[in-house]
Amino acid sequence: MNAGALLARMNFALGLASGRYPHVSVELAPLVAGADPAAPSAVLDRLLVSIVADQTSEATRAALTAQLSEPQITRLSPDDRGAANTDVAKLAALVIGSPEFQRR
Amino acid sequence: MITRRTFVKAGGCALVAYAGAPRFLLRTAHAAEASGKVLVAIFQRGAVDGLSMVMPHGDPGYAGVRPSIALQPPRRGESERAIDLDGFFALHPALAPLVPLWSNRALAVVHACGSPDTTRSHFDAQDYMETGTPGVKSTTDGWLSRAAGARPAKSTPFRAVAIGPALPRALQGEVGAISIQSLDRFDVRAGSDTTARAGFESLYEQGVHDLLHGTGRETFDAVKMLRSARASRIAPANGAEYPRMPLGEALHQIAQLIKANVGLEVAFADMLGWDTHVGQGAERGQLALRFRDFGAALAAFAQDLGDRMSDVVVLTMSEFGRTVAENGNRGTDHGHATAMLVLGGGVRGGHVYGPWPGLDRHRLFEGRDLAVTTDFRTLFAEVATRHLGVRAAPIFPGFKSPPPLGLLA
Repeated sequence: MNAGALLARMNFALGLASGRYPHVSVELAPLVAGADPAAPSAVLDRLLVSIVADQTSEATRAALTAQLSEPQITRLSPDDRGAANTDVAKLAALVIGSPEFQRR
Repeated sequence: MITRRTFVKAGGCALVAYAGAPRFLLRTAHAAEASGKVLVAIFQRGAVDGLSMVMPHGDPGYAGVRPSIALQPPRRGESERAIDLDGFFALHPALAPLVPLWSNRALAVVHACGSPDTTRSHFDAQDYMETGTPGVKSTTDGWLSRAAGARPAKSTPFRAVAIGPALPRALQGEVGAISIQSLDRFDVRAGSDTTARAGFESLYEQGVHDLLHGTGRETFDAVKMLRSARASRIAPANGAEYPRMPLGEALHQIAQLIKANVGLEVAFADMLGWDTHVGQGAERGQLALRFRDFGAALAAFAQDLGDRMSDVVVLTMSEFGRTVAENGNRGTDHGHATAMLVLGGGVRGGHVYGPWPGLDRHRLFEGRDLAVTTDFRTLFAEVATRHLGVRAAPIFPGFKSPPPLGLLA
């Protein structure tokens, strides 16, 4: 795979998970069934099980876990004191674009 | 578990195709090779009618077998007719933008050029031409990849670039070519969401313990380099106006890469729509419209690059030609030899190269097609050796090249 192709796949993952492609709908809810959206780590755990059968390297898991505190994932601003509302689409896009999924 | 393949299949969506594995690893320095030679290959997919692109008006066998699609021979002062080149050959009138390049001896033609393999399958013939090994299906890499790879290594991910959604066969291989659909969209496209780019980058920055991680790192190196070079913001120079069609946009972007000095050595673009079985047309019509865009794109590219063209050679190719005689649908069918163009610095232009086999019936290949008198590898090898400075033998294995055509100084 060349660099342009990998980039296209990452963008495809983003577009797919966020519903940007006409006539294509993706239901993410079943992929995170049972996970509390207030707990980003639980959502990530469910996505990894659903999408890559929980077969991830420690490095990949660490890189994904590092994203869990990002406001664009938690949808919490620095002043918010409430619970997180995990952006499942963005997290799913990262998992789909991860080396573990792209290698399959 | 969902595999990527079932995921894609279930969604009915197409992903960008696989290509050869890159080998440039851990190179992040910006290239400063401002004056390197560049080869731009353009594939006319579908088999262009070389007898209409460069019409042999001096051959008495031409007009009689093409009752509705033959071009009118040149006549001074009549722009609707074919444009005389040398008293025997003429350009299609829709290729008029190329005439100044011919007059300036920057444009050469190689006629009756093609493959020694006799297939009339587009797919096989394109593969053979792109791998540089006619008749051999097992070749896994392309001749342009081998040519670029034979040059001294450069610290840039942009040595070999194809403008398009996927790497063509010609650039697959060890050199690590990149396919780019659009320079200004060569990035993680997540709008204002900075998490996505940072997230993907962190996923692939964990060393290079496998090829995919290597590709990932190269990807982000390339994105940063292109953004830094601001290539997509470089406007056409010298009043050049590219036609608004895929080849025009591709050549514009190749010019931007050249002017951005990102280390480009080999570029590839293609143009579809040359398979004119039905309603080919003559001075006007379907094929004329393709020539209009093709000629305008090439001319704009040369005008845009200006003096920089002295380091650039553009080589056009097509998998085979078309039948000499018109078919029952006012078109032409799959043939054998065609015409190829060579444009740029160092080209001894203003000349049609290659022996002319003639259009007498007994001179035709299998009684119907223009015969091949110049193996395409002779032309490609000359461009590779004279322009890129690489040895031909490893690029065209098993090919014993005849004396060069002499079209490059």
